Amino acid sequence: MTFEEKQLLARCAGLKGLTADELDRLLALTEEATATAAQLPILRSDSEPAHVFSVPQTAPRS
Amino acid sequence: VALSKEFHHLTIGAAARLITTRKLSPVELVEAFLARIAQLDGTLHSYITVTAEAARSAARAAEAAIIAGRTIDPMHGVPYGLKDNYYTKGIRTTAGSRLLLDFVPDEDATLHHRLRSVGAVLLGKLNTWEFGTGTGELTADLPFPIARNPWDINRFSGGSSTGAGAAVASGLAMAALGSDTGGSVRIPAAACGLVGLKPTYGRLSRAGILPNSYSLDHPGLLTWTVEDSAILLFTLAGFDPRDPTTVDRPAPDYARIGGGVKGLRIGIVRRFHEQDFAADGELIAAIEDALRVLRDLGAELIDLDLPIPLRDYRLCTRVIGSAEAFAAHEQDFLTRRSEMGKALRDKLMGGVFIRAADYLKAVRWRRDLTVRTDAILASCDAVVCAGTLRLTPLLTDIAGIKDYVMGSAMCVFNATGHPALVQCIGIDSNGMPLSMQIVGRYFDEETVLRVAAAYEAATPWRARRPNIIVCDGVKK
Repeated sequence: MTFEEKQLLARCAGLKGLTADELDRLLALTEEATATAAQLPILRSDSEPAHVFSVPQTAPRS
Repeated sequence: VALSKEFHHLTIGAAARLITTRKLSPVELVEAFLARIAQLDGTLHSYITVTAEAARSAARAAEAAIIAGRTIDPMHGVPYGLKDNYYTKGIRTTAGSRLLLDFVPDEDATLHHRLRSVGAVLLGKLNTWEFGTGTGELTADLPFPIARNPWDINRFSGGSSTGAGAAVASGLAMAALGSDTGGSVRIPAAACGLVGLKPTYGRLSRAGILPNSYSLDHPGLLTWTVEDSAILLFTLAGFDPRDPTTVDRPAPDYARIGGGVKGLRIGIVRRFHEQDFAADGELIAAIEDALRVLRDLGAELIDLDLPIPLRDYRLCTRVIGSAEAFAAHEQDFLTRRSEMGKALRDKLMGGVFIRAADYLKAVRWRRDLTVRTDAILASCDAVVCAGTLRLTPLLTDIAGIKDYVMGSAMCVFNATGHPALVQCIGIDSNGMPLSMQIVGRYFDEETVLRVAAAYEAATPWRARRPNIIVCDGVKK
């Protein structure tokens, strides 16, 4: 990937003015993060809605 | 009096009893801590900012309240420290970052406000990894020196609440408040031989604590004893209109934690340290010894078959944590990233391109993991499992530190929100503390503390304190 292509990619995320070293680091860490995200399981679309996290409101046993 | 020599090793419970009966002056107590900080913190680097004059003034006010005969809280006159990501009105709050070297908040974090309002005395702001986050990589590019472990100043004090662990273990504060996104309170507690409690998600207010990961952040408590943790939790717990995630529930009653474990059903999750990860043999042996103690005290031990590997929780929290950290720090990353340390910059870069679809997938999966975990935990009164899985590494062992932090089993309960406590269960062959993790049902910190208190009372570990060797080679 050329320097310009890397810059273009970074601009897609709103990142401007990255040095060549920063662009290389960004790509390496993005590759790692993408590989991590690729391991997420596929859930059935109706199995669990997405919502802000909260703990289940069950009372503790006394 | 002979007592004055050991002011710094008093527990909160003991100090409260002495203060209430006017046998101990908050002013004397605070002066003793300030003197010890002056003596030792040039070596330990647990504090970023010491608020000596404000502490003296607060101690005088605490003493005046006692003389006036006012009813006092057990935390009245007790000296404590705050991780430097807690807002403190009029006091610099750096989060360990060059970005905030001159930042002075105009309001207090709710938990700090609650402690101040009951007469507790802030000694200062404690060292932390930058914004309490990172990649687990220890770097020397932050504006403050790296905190040292009082058990061995050449070893890691845990992260990210690095100063909180070091300060409480060395008697430079009676208690400390930290924040725990993936173990940042419990890992320093493990490394420094303390009680580290991450209460249920929603039990403690996060208002005024600089965010790391919006949905994984938990405030947490570091103390020397279980009773101290219970006293502190009792003072701090409760609904806060400034934090919509807090829940209006009665605080655990610290007076009830001495009930023992006879008849309690305690589950054991061995898979984290035996199946998913080959933990150190000394740690495994210490956990088995601790379980024998609980059995001898009358607990019924039950092997639990948790069908979820540790890697699943790590994977889920990593995606959520990276995306949320980038969201929290995006503006600074875009404009001031050259002032950040490498660990924070790398953490944020890893979050730039996480897709919304993947973030939502992780959020939905988290709910599934939470419900399945809770179903297993609900069959018992409390659960014991490993926390850290390695022995405390040397500060020169960069890979070992990353493994110690990122390879622990702490993140499981950041994902699920269950209350989790770490306590000391022995000393390893390097002279460093070993620990286990006790987990409870939602909002049932009382049982977690009860199990930990029973173990603590039956074992000798609270009688051992670190011998701190300062730079001149003298033990303190």
